[in-house]
Amino acid sequence: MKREHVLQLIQECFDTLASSDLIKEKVHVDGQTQLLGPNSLLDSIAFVTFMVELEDRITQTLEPDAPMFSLSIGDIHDFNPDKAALTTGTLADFTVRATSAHA
Amino acid sequence: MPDEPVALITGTSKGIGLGLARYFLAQGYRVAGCSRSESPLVTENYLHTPLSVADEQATAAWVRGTRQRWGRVDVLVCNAGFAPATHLLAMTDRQVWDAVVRTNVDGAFFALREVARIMTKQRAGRIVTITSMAAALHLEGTGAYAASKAALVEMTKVLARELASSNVTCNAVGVSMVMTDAADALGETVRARAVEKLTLKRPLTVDEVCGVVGFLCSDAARTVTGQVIQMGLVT
Repeated sequence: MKREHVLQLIQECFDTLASSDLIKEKVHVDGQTQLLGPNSLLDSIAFVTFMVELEDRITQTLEPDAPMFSLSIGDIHDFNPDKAALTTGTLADFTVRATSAHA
Repeated sequence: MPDEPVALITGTSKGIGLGLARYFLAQGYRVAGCSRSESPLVTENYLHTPLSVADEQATAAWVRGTRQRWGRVDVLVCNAGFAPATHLLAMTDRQVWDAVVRTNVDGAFFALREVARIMTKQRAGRIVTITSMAAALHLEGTGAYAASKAALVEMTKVLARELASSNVTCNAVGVSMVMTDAADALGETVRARAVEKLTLKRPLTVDEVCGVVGFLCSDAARTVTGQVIQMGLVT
């Protein structure tokens, strides 16, 4: 899976959050959009929903019999050490690596 | 995809868990159960997975796989538990302590975490944990077991707060003496002493437990969350 594809899926997740009123307005996602940190637009419930939504969308891109793709906060933290924020770009980079290992 | 609701129940090979699986099937649910051994229950809408809930990856895969197969998770009942023979705390082996905590605390945590994520996205769900009068009575010889069930109660209450805005309720049912294999393991003396401590002065039936769990999973209980329903006991 390519980084651009992951960012596109992340954009779709944000669109879903906006349509279900978990965030107040539509967000145009770029690699610097904060998911966790002082400038994040997501509260804790929106963040959990976002992560599950992204897992679902990634799973849909896998082979039909593949197990559900899952994102581990601990693994993401290890991938992004000593940072006060988690951006969509970092998550996309992590996801590219994780989907490669999942396949 | 069928519209029947889906219930996940841990510890369904016998006792309360088997009774709960039968109860939810009778209510029209599709039921996914798990336990370390096989289940005697064989029916179209029941899917059994042999696993130990203390196995983090296996439990996560069971929850995720059920959702992948059936598309939703409406109910989780954390029932799997390990009740060791009684020991004074001063005589409790580390292995016994670890086994109790792994099943009763770690195992519940692994299932709760996975289901909480799913139900947050669904913005709907019912979670019931099966705890014990041991957490309320502080009986001699139940140190490891009572501590594990107290931890489960606390996890349930915290989760109830965390999931309230997602329309998910979390409650605990504190069962007193139910005549199951787990109760047998406590021994005659402890069983008799436990019944004597109860307000109702009699053991519970599995059907009675199912009735309370069923109520907490019903629409009638949609405003009940973060509660511990003690059965047979005034605390």
